[in-house]
Amino acid sequence: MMNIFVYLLAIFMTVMSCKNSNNSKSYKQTVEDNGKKIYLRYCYACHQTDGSGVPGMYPPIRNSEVVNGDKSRLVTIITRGMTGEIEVNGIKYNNAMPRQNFLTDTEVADVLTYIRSNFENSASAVTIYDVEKARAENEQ
Amino acid sequence: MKNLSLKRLIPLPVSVIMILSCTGQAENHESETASKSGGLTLPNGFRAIVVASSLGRGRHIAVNNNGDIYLSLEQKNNDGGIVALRDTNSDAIADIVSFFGQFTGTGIKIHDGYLYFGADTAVVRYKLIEGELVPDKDYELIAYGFGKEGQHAAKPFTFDDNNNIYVNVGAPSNACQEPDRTPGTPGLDPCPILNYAGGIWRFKADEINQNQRTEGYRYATGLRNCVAISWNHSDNHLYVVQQGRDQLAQFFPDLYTQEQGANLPAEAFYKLNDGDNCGWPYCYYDNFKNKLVLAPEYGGNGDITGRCADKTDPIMAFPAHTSPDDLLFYTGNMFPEKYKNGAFIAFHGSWNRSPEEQEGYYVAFVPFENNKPVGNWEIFANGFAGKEPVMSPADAEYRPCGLAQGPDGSLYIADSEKGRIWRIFYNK
Repeated sequence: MMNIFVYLLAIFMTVMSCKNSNNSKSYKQTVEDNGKKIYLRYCYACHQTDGSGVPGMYPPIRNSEVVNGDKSRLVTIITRGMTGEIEVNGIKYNNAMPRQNFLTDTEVADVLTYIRSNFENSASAVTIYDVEKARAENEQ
Repeated sequence: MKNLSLKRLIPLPVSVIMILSCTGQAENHESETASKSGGLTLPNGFRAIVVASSLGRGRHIAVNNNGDIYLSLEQKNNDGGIVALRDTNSDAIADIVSFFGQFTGTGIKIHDGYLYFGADTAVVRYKLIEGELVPDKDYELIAYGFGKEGQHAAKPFTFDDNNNIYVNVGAPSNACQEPDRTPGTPGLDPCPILNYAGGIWRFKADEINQNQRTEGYRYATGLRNCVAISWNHSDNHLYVVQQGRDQLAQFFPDLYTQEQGANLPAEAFYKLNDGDNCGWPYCYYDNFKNKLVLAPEYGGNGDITGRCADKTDPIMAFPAHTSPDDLLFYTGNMFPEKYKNGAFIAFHGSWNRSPEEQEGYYVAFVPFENNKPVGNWEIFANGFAGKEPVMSPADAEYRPCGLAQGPDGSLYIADSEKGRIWRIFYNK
């Protein structure tokens, strides 16, 4: 009796795990988790855990027209850094952002996807292809 | 690791205080009695009046002998980088508000009939006109040649009694890494930034067109950024409070925990002599070990001193990342005797403690006796942020940034977020 129970449980778990691996939510969750991990390692110090930035120094990534805007510009900001003035939500900022060019294409895609779908932003995901394309354009 | 900031409210036994005060590193506490006034919490007997609000992104503040007020702005408002304010009916509230000035910046002081202004790439002065609130619109260039920097660009300054002006030239860098603020990159050695920034430069106060590179004199070096700078006329010395380096834990997670990164290094208070080297970027001051420590960008492990042994020690250390933005030695007669010749310091408030609670966002007072800090520093004015705890700087409604003393001995405090000015009175 016990053996049958274990057997059935094994089948049930196999079916469930197959179901999960085909589930697009799971992929989304992986991107989300990876993006969040990268944000909390390399980005939060300046842009803050709630994405509000530092007034007068670092622009918010929260509810930001820049973050919701052009993907290739965002890839460029992350991989090449930024100096000079940037206007975000009507306020000017002029601090330097260091380049994060040690991040892989997947990491750049995931962190951008995470930022664009959190912090009161709602924009489409950034794919590895988007990152490759923008990086290639920058090298030309 | 012990978190000093959380223990603000708990007075230490006197013996411990005495030991700690030798190095100036001491626990602090709120004044025993406090009252609310003008939205601020102040020691009993003090009250605050809001002079003006919504002036823009305020920085430093100057008050003339006739009570006229000048506030520098970080971004132009009404096409001006300076706000001039006048109270015409002696109720402390500004009745006339005028915007002028071609430049934005931080440093602002009245000296010898001129309004001096620290634009981020130059120091200029405007001639004050007798009876007029707004000075002559034409400026004279005093010092120039500073780089156009994306960080630590503020040019606050102070005057001695010998016709000299001392200008903070902040380092456009965190710890002289190349590239800056990037995990794993070592610091440049020697750090080339120190040739033109990361120190205090001296110029003649009344000579025009002085180029930093040719006519400027590097008075002190190894100072990352000292927005809080003041000459102490009672002992004829230059004092600064340095904004210490950031991101120890973010860039060196193997050496520092997140909590250590939030609590290191100290914001260090220096009494400077000609030629002093305070150690940036090679060194930082550890406020728990009470010593200078070799920076990890230069081979440090969080403990060894190395080449920092011969660098200038601070006279006092404050909690990490609290961002000292102004320093004022009180010489007035309005406040009680204990404040005479002591130092007020505006702590703009931290950002690099995230995800821990932020710290600062208050004006502190350091009692001085015989030209030395004595006992503990204390929080003099608090409540600027409007909420506690502050988790992100954007949570703060107001942030103290500028300090000035009025001719009657009242203390002015300027806010950077909305451009509010408070005036603090005692028993009046």
